Amino acid sequence: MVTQKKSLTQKSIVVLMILLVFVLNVQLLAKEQDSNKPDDLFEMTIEQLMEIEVASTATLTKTKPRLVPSAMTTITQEDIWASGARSLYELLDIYVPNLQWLRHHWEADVMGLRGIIGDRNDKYLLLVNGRVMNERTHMGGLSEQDLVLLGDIHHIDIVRGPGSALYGPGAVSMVINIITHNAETFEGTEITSRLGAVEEFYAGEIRHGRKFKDGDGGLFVYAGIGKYIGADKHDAPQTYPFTFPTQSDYWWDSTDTGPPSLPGDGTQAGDAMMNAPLGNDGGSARDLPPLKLHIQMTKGNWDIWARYTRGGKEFTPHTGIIARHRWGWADWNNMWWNNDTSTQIPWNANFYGYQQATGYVGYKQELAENLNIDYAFSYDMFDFERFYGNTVIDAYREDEYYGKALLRWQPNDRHKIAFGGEFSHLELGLKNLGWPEIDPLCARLGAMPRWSTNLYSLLGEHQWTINDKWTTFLGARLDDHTYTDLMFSPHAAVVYTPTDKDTLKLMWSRSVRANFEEEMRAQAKAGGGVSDPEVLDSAEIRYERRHSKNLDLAASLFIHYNLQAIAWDESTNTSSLAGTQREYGLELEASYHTEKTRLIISHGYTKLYDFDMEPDRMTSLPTEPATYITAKPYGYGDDLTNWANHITKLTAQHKLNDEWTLDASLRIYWGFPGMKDFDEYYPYTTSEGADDSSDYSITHPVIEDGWERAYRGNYYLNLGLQYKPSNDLTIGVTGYNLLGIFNKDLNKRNYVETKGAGDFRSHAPAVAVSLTYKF
Amino acid sequence: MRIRAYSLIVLALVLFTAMIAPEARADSATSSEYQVKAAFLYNFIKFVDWPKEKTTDGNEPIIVGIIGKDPFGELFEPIEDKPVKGRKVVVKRFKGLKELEESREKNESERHKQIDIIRKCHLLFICRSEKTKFKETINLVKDHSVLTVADTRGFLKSGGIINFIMEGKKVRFEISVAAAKQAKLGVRSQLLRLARRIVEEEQSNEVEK
Repeated sequence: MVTQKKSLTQKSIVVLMILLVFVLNVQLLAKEQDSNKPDDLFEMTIEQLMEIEVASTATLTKTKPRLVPSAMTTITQEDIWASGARSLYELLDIYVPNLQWLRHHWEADVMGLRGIIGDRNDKYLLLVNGRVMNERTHMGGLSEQDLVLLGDIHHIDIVRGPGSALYGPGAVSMVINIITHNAETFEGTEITSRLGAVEEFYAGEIRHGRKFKDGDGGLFVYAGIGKYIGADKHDAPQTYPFTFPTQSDYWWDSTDTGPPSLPGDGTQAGDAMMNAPLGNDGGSARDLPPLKLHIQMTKGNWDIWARYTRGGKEFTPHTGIIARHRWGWADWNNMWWNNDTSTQIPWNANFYGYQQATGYVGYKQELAENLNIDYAFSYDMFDFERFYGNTVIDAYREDEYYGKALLRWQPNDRHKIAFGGEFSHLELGLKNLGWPEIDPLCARLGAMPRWSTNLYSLLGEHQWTINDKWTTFLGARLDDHTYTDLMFSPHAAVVYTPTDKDTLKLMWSRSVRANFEEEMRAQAKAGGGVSDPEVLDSAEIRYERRHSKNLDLAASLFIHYNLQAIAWDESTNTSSLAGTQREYGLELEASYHTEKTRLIISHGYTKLYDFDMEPDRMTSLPTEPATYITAKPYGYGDDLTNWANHITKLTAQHKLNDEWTLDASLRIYWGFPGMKDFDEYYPYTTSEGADDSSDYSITHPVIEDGWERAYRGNYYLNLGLQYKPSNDLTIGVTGYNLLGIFNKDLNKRNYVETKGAGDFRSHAPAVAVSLTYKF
Repeated sequence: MRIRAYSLIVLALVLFTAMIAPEARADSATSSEYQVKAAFLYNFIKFVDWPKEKTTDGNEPIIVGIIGKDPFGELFEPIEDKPVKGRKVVVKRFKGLKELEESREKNESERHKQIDIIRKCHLLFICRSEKTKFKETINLVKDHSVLTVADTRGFLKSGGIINFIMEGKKVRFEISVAAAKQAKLGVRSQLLRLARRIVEEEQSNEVEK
């Protein structure tokens, strides 16, 4: 049993931070006492009123912003611009409380919230204008998260917490809803150019919006193209926790005429790996330029849009494939740099790539003043490919045909009801349009047959305004998938508003996640029947206080008391319950904003309190564990593996004058104790690519004794300066991950599911400039 | 996956309770949004000039009318103590045009009285519930120098003067100078400068901002 030790320093810093927030709040409260009258708004000028933000909603039925029964974060286009974010990952990491972002060695980067994170992004839904954009075969939320092109986004609503009752299967940890610009929100023509150095990239964007002559509706068009070269191994070093051997009969580069050498030849444990053809951090897949196109027309009750995105990234090799350990090497023929021309693969780096094209038609039918029906019809095409270990692992396309009808009825002033249905038809195992020379194949099935699935859904919500102080929300959703039993996701919430300033929300829900299509298909083929979905039962109590027009405070206490985590079983080719995860947490938020200054701080704490591993999924060493959620069942600690229990985020903006604005953001992941526990239990890395089972035998752990660096905190500091000489021109410069100038370990980004590799890669301290001009 | 019985029971109980519960006070769609819009309306008064015939008596209050299903509730209460241009501001609420038409059969004189008061308003906010009656409502007041305001798409097209629009989470507005001229209202440049869109001549010549 390993005892969980937290350093005194870390504890002290957390306590100090909390005290600081508290003291700051108290001081601000004291200062704001006099400006806390309800008629403040009437003292404001029109210019000041135009700067006030009004919250949006996250319910089926319309409601007051303060009554929205969830914790929600909204990121505006001004926030996007101020952050200088180079991807959606980075943007959300900066602004969303208790959201965490980790790398992966052979899948896309992953994001999680409140301790719920997977090896792929299938525990949350990514939406654009309310339409789910998740890939269904293998990856989950994937498209556009890596893109540096963000100029089409008007704002993003992040519903923090489970939301299957509203959004459907997959909304377990959160829902990210990107709302694009349209002719109502953007008029004129604007170009943006961005250039990044050290982590090198180039991006050009143009957007144009115009209203129709009659003032009813209009057209919005956006196009963006980029080139993302990324940061090289010197600026973004990869660090392994073992020493590489120094002798071999092989050359890693066939053109090398020097003495025999190997990747990482002689690199000492903990040294940045330089002696290897390590790809750039953040480099685009296949050197294809990232692309995004969006066109949207609104007219009367019609909303029609089409969208195309293309992207993808290179992976940094995993220990299991770059090298075995000091007792040997992985299968040489399976190494990615050993490029075999017979495979006709012209690239020598691991990568994933995608392209997605979506068409959407929405219409609102107004039957009466208090009765309308929203209709939506949509087609979506998703191409995905993945290349790893000199092998094409995935190359396929999936097509979705989607329809929805939602009736909204307000029978009287107290009741609002929404009820409707959705239908989704998926065609799977289609030929990849971007890579047509490869026949459809995927990780679980190998060569893919063509098949299809259907999802039928019924959903409804009832909002009841009992009186001035009490409002209830009750909703439920039923989903029936070809390869699952009926899935039921209810939610209930009570919102209490005792005063104009105070809001108390009590929320309960059950959310579900159906497994990936490839795994459900594989299970059915293997005679395993329908797949069980992942289930999360949770409750949350949230307090919000609009203390004054300048200061908002919020606190959420949540508990996931029943998260039935499913995991794939290679031996039976089925997915089954691995264990029941239970955790609780606390989120504190404060937002202070004046005409010139804005300061937002949040702290998230998440703690595993139980994990009941299913007896038949328990393993013993050196067998690879069935799940990487925690090493607790094996007696190693009591924390989540892929999670920092504490995370603090701070963003600040100060307008020096009409022309100059300063921006800053700081994110602190306060260490990964659960990851350390896991690697102490299983320090052998995966068997992937092994040519000798003794390589990962119990007597030969990979990780050096006393390896700590991977599990310490991560600290990301960005500073920005904006110059706006006129209404038409804005110039910005942002410095990223600046603490890495002093120590690159401070900027490390850990890998999810390292499988005992214990390695990490640091983000490069970098700089970018941007220029926006409006014609 | 099984549907747990207790979930269904809770669902049924709450729905049942909701349906049989007593009537409660009306609720606005988005109150904080309307707090901001109320403050905008108050500011509009400062930047609009009414013809002399509408402001002959300096002691008469400035009347803000709200016609239709009122989303503001008590949000205007603070302005009772906040005079504009040296005059008190009074808020009056009116039934929608459809209801006024229906009351004609019952009491024609009462209806006329209501219309007269509407025409005396300096500023008339026409609620979304009146969307199908925009043109009729505007025609009712167009010769009486009333600043018509709404927050519904297509309002300017119907002949309205100022329309609120949302840009994300921020409130913006658009102005029809043509309609203002027709109503003999002067809109000051400070207000025009901040408008998101200006309609110069009855929708035919728009100035993009």
